[in-house]
Amino acid sequence: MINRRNGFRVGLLVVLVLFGMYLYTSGKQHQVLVDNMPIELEGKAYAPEALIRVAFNGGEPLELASGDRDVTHIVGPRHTVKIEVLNESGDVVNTLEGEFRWVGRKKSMFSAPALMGGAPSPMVDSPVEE
Amino acid sequence: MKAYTTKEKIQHFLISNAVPIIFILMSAVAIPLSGFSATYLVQEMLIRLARNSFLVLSLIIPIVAGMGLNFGMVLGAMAGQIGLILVSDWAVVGMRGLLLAAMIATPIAIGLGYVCGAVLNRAKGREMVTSYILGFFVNGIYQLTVLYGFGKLVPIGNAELVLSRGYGIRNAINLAGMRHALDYLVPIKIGTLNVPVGTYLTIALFCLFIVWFRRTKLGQDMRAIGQDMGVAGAAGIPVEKTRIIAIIISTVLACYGQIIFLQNIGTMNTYNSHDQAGMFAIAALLIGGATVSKATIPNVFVGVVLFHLMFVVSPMAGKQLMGQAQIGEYFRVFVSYGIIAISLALHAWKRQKDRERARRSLRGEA
Repeated sequence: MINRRNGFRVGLLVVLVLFGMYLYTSGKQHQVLVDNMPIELEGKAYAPEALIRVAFNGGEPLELASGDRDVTHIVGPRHTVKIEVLNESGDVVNTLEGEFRWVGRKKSMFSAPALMGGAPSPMVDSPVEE
Repeated sequence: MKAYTTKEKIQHFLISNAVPIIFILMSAVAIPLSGFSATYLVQEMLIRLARNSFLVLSLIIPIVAGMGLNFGMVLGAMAGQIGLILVSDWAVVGMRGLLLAAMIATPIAIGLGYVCGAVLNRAKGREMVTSYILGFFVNGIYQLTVLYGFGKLVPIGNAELVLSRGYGIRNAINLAGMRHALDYLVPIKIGTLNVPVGTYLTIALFCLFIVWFRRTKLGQDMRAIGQDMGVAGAAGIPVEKTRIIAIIISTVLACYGQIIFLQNIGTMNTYNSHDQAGMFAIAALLIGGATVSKATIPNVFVGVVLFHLMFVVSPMAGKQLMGQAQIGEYFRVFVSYGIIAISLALHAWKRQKDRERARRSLRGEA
């Protein structure tokens, strides 16, 4: 019988399930490949920088030379990224900050040239998916 | 009624606080022998107090309800571990991972608490030994579930968690993604000391909950049941239902306590982590001066500090004294289990003494 008490219980259960789903999606850790290689997306070519430093969500940065690929972990669906372009002596010559949204297992490679070149999304198919 | 003399008052104080006094004296001898610096000991105590207090606090409510020391708290610890295994498999990390683990573990802990409470209602007066044995029984079910069910009935996708045969969980689980997620939620450093503020805030909230709970109708009912079940029943209090609620609350809180404990440690021993949870929490509470029938919040904190002080200093003191750290370690294990026996014996002796004192004071004898 649905009375006020049972209604409250069902409501509480629904809230808890929704909260659980929120915790799952916002706390899930994803493994992502970070790539600094030439790439072509929708007919447009994006060239890599000679040396870059990439940091996700204010975390520990990865240093990638042209043609390098590395792996890192990011948490949740929304991410901030900071890319610093370095010259030969290691000084920062250009800084680019951006945001992107990514969930799921598909397109699990982050292409730094794509982000710096203004591609619609920096997330591309990883070699495993291809 | 006769007024007590100073000698009697001192005697009563010493008898009431015999266990903490023994431990303070032992610590006073062992600390200088160990050679540890004050900063190191303070840091260790800060971490261990945060790590263990929640588990020990979960024991208070069944004591209020007259059910003694809830050895069945390991049931809650197992529920917490199941939550952590699933969350590790789903790779949910940080504070969100801990909350999700607690959410998953809560219904399991409620179910186990209900079973435990129902069994204890059929074993009134022998709750401690019954809950102790029930812990072994449920441990068997836990081992069966985790060793054979996980990976077969419960899908586990993370290859790092599953045994090489394809089902069953590995002996050790790395909780690196959740390590110190609650402890350093609010990062505060005092000098060289790291203070796990997040956990202390949680413990403070829990203490407030206990203080508030004792004043509620349910809390008062539990107190009445703890004093005399027959009288409470005659007064219209649903004795059995209230006792089950006390055990459910204790089990759920022990489940959260185990999650807090393991996030501090950072690794989980799948098949053994819960084993020692009950015994060590009970030993700490008794060392703090609690008894089978009376436990307060200060008993918890005094007990955890004294018990863990012995944990830290005894191996080194043993090494300095006998030339072998292992001797100190054996001593610590002997003390952990021995203190439970001593406390129970002292409790029985004190109860007998109290009865004699009450009889004498009623008679007006010198």
